Amino acid sequence: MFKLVKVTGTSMSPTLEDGDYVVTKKPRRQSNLTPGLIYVINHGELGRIIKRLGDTKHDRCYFIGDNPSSTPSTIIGAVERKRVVGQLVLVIGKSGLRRV
Amino acid sequence: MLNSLISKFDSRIEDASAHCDIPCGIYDARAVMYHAVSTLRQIDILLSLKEKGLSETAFAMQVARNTAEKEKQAELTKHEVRVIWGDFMKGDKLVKHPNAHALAHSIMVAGSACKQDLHREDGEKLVALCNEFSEMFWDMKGMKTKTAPCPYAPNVDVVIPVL
Repeated sequence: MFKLVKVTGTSMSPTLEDGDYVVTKKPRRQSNLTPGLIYVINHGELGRIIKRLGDTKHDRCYFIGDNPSSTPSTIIGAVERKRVVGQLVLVIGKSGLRRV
Repeated sequence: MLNSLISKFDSRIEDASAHCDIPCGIYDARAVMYHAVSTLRQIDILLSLKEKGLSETAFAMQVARNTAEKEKQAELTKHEVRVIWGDFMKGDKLVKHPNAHALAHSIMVAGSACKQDLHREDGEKLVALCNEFSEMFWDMKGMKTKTAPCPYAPNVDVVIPVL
């Protein structure tokens, strides 16, 4: 299932800029998330956020932002796999379409 | 071009936050207790000023100083609660403590009462509500608490974490 989501903020800059739209798809299997890809997460404290998956350990995922001044992963904390709701497939930026 | 076309339907599209703020993650309800107890202390001092036999000028000066401090401490209590409530008490933490919103609001009202008038019971109520808030906060942090009298006037019981 695909979904259109708007990016707010610059913690994923330069990959994603504030105001970009992204097309996400529901992960086929949440047990099979790939470090390095970008996901949308329903975070328990921070709300819906978009970050790059840094690492996984058992049922936990650790996310990071591309921008060095992003919320540190220690604040984002370990995220349960079931909170990952979308995987980024396409960016609709101000300069056009691109795949990440 | 596609981006600007989609932006016309912006209100129907969900956001995903990539904000760059760096929350420090340091929240501590002991600051709430410190200011709530200080507010009660200022109320006690103000209520005892008449017994001190001060000159009219000295009395007026003392009332002015302690009233200003009372209001400052009550406002700081409200501020500390607002920060913890707004920035820390959210998401999953509210599932176990759905009363957090009502309690934070009660503290706002009690803090304002301490600023507006001079009744010891208002200060006592503020401390009691802040104790409840402190207990809730530390439970959200997974910490145990204990109740002990503060080792200085007004010597009221305060909820503190068992570190």
